[in-house]
Amino acid sequence: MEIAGILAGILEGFRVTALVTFYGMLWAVPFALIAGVLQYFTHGVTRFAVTCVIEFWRSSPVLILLFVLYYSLPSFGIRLSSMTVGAMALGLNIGGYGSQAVRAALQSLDRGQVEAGRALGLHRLHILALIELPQAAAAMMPTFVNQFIQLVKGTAIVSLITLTDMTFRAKQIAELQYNPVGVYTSLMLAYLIVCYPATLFGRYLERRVHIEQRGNREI
Amino acid sequence: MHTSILRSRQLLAALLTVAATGLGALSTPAAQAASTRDTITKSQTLTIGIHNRAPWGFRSESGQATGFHPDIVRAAFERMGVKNINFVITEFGALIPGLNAGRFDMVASGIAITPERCNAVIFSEPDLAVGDSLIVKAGNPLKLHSYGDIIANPKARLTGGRGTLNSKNAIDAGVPASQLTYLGDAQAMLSAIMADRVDAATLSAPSVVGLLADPKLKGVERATPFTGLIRKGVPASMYTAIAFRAEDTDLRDAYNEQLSKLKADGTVVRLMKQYGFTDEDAVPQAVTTAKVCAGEY
Amino acid sequence: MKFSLDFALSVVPVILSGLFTTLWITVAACVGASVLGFTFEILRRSNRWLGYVMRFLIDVIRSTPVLVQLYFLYFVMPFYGVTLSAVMAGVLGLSVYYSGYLAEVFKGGIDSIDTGQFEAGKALGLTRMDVVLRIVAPQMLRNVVAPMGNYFVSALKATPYLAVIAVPEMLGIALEVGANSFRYAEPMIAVGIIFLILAVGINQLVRLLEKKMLASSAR
Repeated sequence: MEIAGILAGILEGFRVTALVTFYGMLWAVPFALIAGVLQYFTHGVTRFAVTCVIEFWRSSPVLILLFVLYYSLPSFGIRLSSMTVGAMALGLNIGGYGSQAVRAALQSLDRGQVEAGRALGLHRLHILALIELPQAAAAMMPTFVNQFIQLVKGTAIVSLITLTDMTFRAKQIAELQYNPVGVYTSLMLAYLIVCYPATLFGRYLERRVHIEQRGNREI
Repeated sequence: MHTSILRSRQLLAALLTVAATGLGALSTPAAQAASTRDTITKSQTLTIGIHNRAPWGFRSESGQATGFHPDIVRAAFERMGVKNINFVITEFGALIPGLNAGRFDMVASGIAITPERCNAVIFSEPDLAVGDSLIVKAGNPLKLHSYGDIIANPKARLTGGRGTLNSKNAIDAGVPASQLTYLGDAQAMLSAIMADRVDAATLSAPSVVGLLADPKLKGVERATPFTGLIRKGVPASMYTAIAFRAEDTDLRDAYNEQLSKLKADGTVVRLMKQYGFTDEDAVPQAVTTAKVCAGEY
Repeated sequence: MKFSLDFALSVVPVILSGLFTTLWITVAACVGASVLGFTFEILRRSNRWLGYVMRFLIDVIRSTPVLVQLYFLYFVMPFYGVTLSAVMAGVLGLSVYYSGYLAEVFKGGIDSIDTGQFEAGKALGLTRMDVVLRIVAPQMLRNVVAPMGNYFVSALKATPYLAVIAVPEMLGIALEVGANSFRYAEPMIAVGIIFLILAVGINQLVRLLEKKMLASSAR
């Protein structure tokens, strides 16, 4: 099997890679938005609780989160499908990072905006939805593109909980015939094909938005 | 102004729907009211765990589970009305934990009966008796023909699969932990030998034969002759069987019933021939699962 | 199988035996990533074409999963004569992976330094190399402490990936314990909690350090 054949075999796993990425985004984006907004809004004990939840998902190594959800939960009676485990672990982990960017984007807005909204008699939530979020949205876009790229790359680890994604297919092909050079080179190519355009797009967005992030960006 | 409020409400509603859909992906926890056997009979489907190693349990080119154990399971359960066999590929060391975590209904992949494993799962009656074998660099430069040779040469590095009986045999034979590295699968072990990270890999004899059959594989060979672990004066054999969860005794008994029929009508012998096993690999009459679990073999 | 707290507690000391390995791999990876990242950034600035090549290389590294890069280094490089031990391959893999991110951090750090510094150096007759090492680098170091602290924690959380290439760090040990005892649930939770404590703890330390640096640089 030469590179083309191997690449075709690996890309058979693309469907699972795409599904995990999609479900992962369904966890990551809402979590990032809700947690980020909550952290921005709340004070005292509530804020501490929100921060704890965020930190739990963000500060745990994602590989360990994956194994804990997959192997440890069943011993408490909760058995989630591999797909759910993969999407949750990746999504909530990456969403945790996203929440920090959301919060930073909201915090970077001029306080005058909020005061103007109050002066107009708007309810605080309306201010958030109508004034703050739309303005912060532009700053948050590069982050969400980044989250997408991180997710696609992150899906490689779901191969370790038996999901038949591209990395898993690569390892399967490697077991069928001994050709590590061909197999792993093709695997790198496969991810490049998917992620490189997204990386370029993300950098383009970042340059347009030009928001200074304090290095809290990703990973 | 009204349009923007409407849009923001829609945005909020959309966000909530997305969140709900995402959370809805959470499957409901399994309510263990029906036994595994009933579920299998009703759905006519069962799921096996394999570790993708020929000839034990592996994925064929056409995407089916194949190999000695998947085929026996297929033959046995066909008679009970099961039409579909799904499979999950996992690392060997994760087969029993995966079984107990409910990821599949049984392990059909060359797993041997050991007293320790009997505490974690229940086994069917044994179907094959095989020994260890060693893969070394071509030419066997360190002249390794037994675990004793490895122990005698402190520079010799051995690798084995995590959680496999081969690795355990090596340890029982006295190979120090410092000389043993655990790797996840056979491909990693072969790479390690060729890259000179280890000197030898221990696997079951049929696995070695299967691996070395690949014409593209150069630079490694099987160490012959090879003596494995000697226990109570006789070479230790590994007795393979199908593993079930401890509570699925009815499933195990149903399978055992079919297994004896398959042994009687020659299906087992036919499958053995198909996968390259010989009469030497047949299980002696006297060996039963209960005795192996008790440590008598 | 129900979760057994006793078993979980009993495996903690075993897992902790890998703590030193985890920590020194993290440190080595950070040093490696810093050296590589700094080199990348300097090379990128020195020459337009080199800059494009560096940019491309960094994008390639950022577009493939770290897991796949580790597989590549471990399985493919021996065919090109470079056989590293599992640990070295792991350290190199993490160094290369983070060098891309750190190059960006250094870029920000260097950009934030007044060009007047370069001109002054030139006026004093210093070579470019001297200006970089004696004037720019020390100032930049203070700016980059915070992001680098973040990457230290990130590198720590990436050490579990090395378990797939048989490095005896904490996750690897937890997997071994799991395979030998047939119970993955308890070791996974144990190693997860250990990493969580480490990550949060070191994060707090980094924040403290950041505050002290800000205080000392305020004039």
